[in-house]
Amino acid sequence: MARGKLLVIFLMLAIICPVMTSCFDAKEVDDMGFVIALGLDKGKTNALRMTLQIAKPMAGDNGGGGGKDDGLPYAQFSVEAPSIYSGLNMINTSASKQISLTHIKVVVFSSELAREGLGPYLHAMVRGREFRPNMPIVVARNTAEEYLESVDPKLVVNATKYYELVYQSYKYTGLIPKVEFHDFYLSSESLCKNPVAILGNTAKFQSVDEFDLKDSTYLEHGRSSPFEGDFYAGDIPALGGSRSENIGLAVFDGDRMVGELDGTNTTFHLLCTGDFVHSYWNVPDPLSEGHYVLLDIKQSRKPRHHVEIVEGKPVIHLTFNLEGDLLSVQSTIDYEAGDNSMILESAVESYIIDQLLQYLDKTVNEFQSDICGFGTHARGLFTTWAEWEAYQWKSKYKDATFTVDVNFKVRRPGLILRSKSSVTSESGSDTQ
Amino acid sequence: MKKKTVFGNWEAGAIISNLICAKVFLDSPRLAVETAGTAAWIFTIYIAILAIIGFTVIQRLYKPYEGKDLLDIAELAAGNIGRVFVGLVIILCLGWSTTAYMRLFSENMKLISLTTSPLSFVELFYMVCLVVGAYLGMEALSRLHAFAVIIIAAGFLLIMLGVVNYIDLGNLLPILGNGAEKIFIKGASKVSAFFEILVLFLLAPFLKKYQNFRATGYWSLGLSAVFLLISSFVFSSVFPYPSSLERTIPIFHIARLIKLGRFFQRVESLFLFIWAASSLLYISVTFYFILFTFQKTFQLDYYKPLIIPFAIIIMSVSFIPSDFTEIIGYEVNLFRNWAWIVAFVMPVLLLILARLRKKKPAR
Amino acid sequence: MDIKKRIKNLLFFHEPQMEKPFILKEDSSSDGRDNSDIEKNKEGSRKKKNEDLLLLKKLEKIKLTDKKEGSDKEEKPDISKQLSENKRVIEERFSIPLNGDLIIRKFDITVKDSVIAAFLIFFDGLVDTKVINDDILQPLMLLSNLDIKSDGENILNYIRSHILPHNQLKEARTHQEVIDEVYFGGCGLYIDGLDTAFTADVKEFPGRSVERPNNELVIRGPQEGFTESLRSNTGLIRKRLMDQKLITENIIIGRRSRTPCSIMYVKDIANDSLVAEVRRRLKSIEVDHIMDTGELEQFIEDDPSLPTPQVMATERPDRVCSMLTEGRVAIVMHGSPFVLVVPVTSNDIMYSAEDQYLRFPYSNLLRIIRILALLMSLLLPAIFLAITNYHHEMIPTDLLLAILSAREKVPFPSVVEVFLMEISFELIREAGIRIPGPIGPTLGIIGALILGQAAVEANIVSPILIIVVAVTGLGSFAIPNFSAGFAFRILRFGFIILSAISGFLGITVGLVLMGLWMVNAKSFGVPFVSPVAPRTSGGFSDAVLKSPVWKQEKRPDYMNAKKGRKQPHISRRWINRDVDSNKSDSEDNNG
Repeated sequence: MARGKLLVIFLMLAIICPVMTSCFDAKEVDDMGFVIALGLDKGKTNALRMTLQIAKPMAGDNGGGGGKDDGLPYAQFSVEAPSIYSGLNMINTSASKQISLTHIKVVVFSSELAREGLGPYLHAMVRGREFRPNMPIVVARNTAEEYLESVDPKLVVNATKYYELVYQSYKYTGLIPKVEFHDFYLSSESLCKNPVAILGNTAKFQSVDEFDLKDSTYLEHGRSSPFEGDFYAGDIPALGGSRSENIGLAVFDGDRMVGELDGTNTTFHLLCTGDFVHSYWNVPDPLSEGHYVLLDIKQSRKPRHHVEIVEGKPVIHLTFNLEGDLLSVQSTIDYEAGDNSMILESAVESYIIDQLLQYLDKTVNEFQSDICGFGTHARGLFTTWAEWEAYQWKSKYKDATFTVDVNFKVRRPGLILRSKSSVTSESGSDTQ
Repeated sequence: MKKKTVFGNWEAGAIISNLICAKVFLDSPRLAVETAGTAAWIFTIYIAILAIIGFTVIQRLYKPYEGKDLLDIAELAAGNIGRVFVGLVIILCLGWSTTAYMRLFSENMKLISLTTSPLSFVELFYMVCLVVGAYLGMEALSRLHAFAVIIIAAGFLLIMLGVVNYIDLGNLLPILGNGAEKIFIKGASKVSAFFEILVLFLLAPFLKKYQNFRATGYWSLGLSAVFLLISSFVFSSVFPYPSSLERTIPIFHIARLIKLGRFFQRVESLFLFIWAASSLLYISVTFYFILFTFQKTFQLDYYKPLIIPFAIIIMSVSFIPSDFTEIIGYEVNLFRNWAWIVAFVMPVLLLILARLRKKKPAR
Repeated sequence: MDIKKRIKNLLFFHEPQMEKPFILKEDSSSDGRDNSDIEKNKEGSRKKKNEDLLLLKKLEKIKLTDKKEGSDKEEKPDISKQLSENKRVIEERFSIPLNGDLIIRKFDITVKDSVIAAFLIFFDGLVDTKVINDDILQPLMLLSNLDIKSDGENILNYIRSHILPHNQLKEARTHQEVIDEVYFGGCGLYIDGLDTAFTADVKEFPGRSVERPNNELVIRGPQEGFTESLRSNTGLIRKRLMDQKLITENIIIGRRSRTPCSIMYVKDIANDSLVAEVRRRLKSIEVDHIMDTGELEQFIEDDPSLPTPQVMATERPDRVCSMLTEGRVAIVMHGSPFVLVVPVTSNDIMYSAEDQYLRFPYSNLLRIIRILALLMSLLLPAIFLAITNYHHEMIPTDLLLAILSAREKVPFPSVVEVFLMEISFELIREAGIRIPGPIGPTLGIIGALILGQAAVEANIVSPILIIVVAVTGLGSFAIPNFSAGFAFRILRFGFIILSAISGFLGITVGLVLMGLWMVNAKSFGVPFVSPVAPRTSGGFSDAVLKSPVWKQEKRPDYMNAKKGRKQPHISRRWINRDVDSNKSDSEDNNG
């Protein structure tokens, strides 16, 4: 036994000695430069123009770090390269630290690149173990470089937090889609689903004087003035904060971008996929023209999709269960109870159906791209994969017809139980 | 000669379950998807049932041979030649799975975390465990399994639970995947996924009683079927069919998805713990049984002097295949298609032969 | 050449020598090792004495003492009838007159008109002189004149039964017996014309009185600790464990020191082969002097290379008692305030005495915290190193940037940093124990100030590492067993090296190797990691988490105790109103 042990120890020493001489993969944290955002554009001189934001060490208590020089918590590099990894090499010629992609928080593609197809880049990102599967994908309407440059996180100290939070805003605005690289990639390869990406852009307005509505989509939605969602990214008349704007979605067919949707349609996209959480909606007042009822709409149950194939064409039936809280009633009509509430609910239902059909119509006719993933529900109609493959859902989607059912219920009236009109000096004397 | 080591059902069950389930961390979910498409889970249930039927037959035949392992039975059936032949077959099969798994696990380890380390460096870690495990023998190995396997199983279930958000049951449709023929006829040979049940037939003397042998067999087959099922179910429901074929290490890709708020992201490295532990145990056990079989086949008194030479042979052989895909090719297309003959057909034949031989002199 | 030979020795195969390791088996009668038949015969009489003592103890609180059996029974009686001869032998053996503290008191006894010369020997300082005066000298010298109605021809009997009122009087046939007794605080009485000497226990050692235990503190529970005196220690155990079958066997260890030790066990619970094995190991020790159970532990443990202790050393009598009731064996040694209990398992070294006294949710909380503490103490620096060197993607980005900026100005690689801090921490710990009392508090200041503050200010280490090392240190203090704490402190360095080599893979390999090492170990025939590995039936009631006291029905299976059951299935009989309280009595003792 003692000899056995000696032998084991001897062996272990013999093995460990050469091992001790090198720690092959050990890389100190401070020897690495962590990229937090990656932008890809079409290059002038080469296939790609890469923009990298590399985090600087955080501002410590000594006030250093944090980018005293230019006030930014990151350093931005741009390079033109044939591929992502060769770009990294090229940047490493000037950056002091080895660049690591393990902490990328967002990847931005320019729409120009996206329209040509993202396949090669997506594959590279899946194959490399460094990219996170849950980072969001953004399509910048101009260039990714410009978009990333315009990100100036005013509200948070560190940029990573900004990136982590800003793309989560679909949970409370409903104006951008929920996009994770994982889903994006799978959808781009899928037979039954097409991917979407967040639409982003640099705000085009520099001052209040420049504000205009010429790019707003409110007319398209049949409104007299734009709602919060009736814009594409970059067109919102707003100032302050970061100059990058994220609203709307980029529609893809496979790995190729085919179009854009504005914020309002994005909300309905979220509703269809079931990723909608809650957001504030303006709904035209059914009883008082020109006024709006402001609702906080939630999804009380995930939507139900029922797909049939009638004469080779898909017929999709959708059921939505929504609920809402009254936030404000501009007309001061008493919508809290009784018949009025029924009127409001049915008005909201028909409003939603109307808007939804508009949205679905766009996906079918304009883009012919099943971005809601109805195909995933159609698969159940086939017994084997070969049959399903033969059906070619993506090409049949353009013939799809929809029926939509919405159940809406006002659950809570907010802190006011009875709406009362405000009393001015004239009306006050009338009622008394 | 030596004091017989005896251990309970729990330990034996843990060993066999880990042996069968270690492949979950390699490519078993992907293989299931490759064979059956979206119906990977049906396929897994199917081969599990096949394996259990196979075991039932063997277990019935085993009854009179309580406490005898396959080599003893081979000797009963065909004398010394039989024993040597069966021993060599077992050594070859176990040797292959040890080398293949050592190479595959090391390669995967390189893919996942130690990207720039040389392969030999990674394999050295496996070597150390393998040698130490063999030195300390079956008793220590079985006891280690008794609690390590629980931890591995718990970690595995945690990973599966972590991706519950990503599970889309729609991905399991169309329900029959690649079609019934492919699943039930062509897929039948994939019952070799349960090849490691062979080790149970070598474990028989450690278990002593026939009841223990039977219980261990059913329990470990059942448990590993459950784990294989969970893995293929989760994998094929998280990754839709054609894309799922791309994934080199299915469970690793699943683990990458885990995200609990902003803080817990990319915990796949934690998964490395259970992954490495499972593979280390697998390799140590199969290596021990290579030695055990060799010792018994050639009726040696000691196996310990064999440890170092065998370890060196195994390590050298594992370097022979030139690349990752080559070894996967051998493993998947060759070994996992034909191993069922060794694991299920050979014992049945031996048992029947042994019975016939036994009856003859009686008459 | 020696080295050549050794290498050759290593590489070439040699027939291993078959050792038969001791394994605790269920059936103790079949164990052939139990060869001491004499011991068995002795047990009968000893038991009787113990029972008598127990009765006595309950009646009146006299000083508890066990009869010190002459362990060298093979020695021939060598006491001469000639007093002068005896005196000469004694003087020779004690090196009189070189030895200054041995008192030889010569006197005469008057018995029935005859005057008999006698002498008394004892060590000054080990005995209670008042007892000698009142109970031995006074009766012998004065009261022997009283007319006692007895026709005892035998002076020996006469003296024993009539004259000496001392409560612990023994007859000795050999000088060695007398000498052993004298060294253990007795006095020897030689009487002319008798070939038997009397020994009387009059010991009063200088030493501590019973105090609170210093190292194993509890909040809820008894507050007594062992002292350095054998008899007060066995007394403390007996005081608590009022069991008629509690046996205290005496044994002497040390060829020269002849240190008295006691093996304690409950006779009808403890496995016989276990007791025999303990006895065998203790008896086989050949050593000149032995000072403390710390040394004894190293003489009897199974595997000296295993990092964790394989013998429990405790200073709490209640702990010893509860372990005795489970069928374990305790070894008490004169001069050591730590009592050894064997066998132990890995669970025992993670438990504190308090666990049993607290309600089970509380003690389970403590246990979970202790397991966490163990993991931290073992793995935290290694995991920190692995994450920061190999698995960057795991760290939340914010934290990563914090670590990054903290490390930006640190010149060392993080491995060196970790080693630096770990070693300084061990330094503080060691210095804290060795430092003279009055300047102790300054050490804390130095440690905290210099290492914590200044090192960070000087950019020698990063602040986050200080947190890691501090938490690790706290973790190692939360491990209740002192020796086990050492084990994990040593292993921690191994894990640091492994994780520096290859990150999580190294740690996993380390864990597997450590696991193999641990499960292979045995403590007095009991697998060290039982009841987890090998899993034993029903051992889980107190394995990792604790079930309520009334549910701990069985003794640990791995102990193979003679009686498996501690309490019947329903121990809280009041719960069921219909149960006849006499009915389930029979269930109590079916092991």
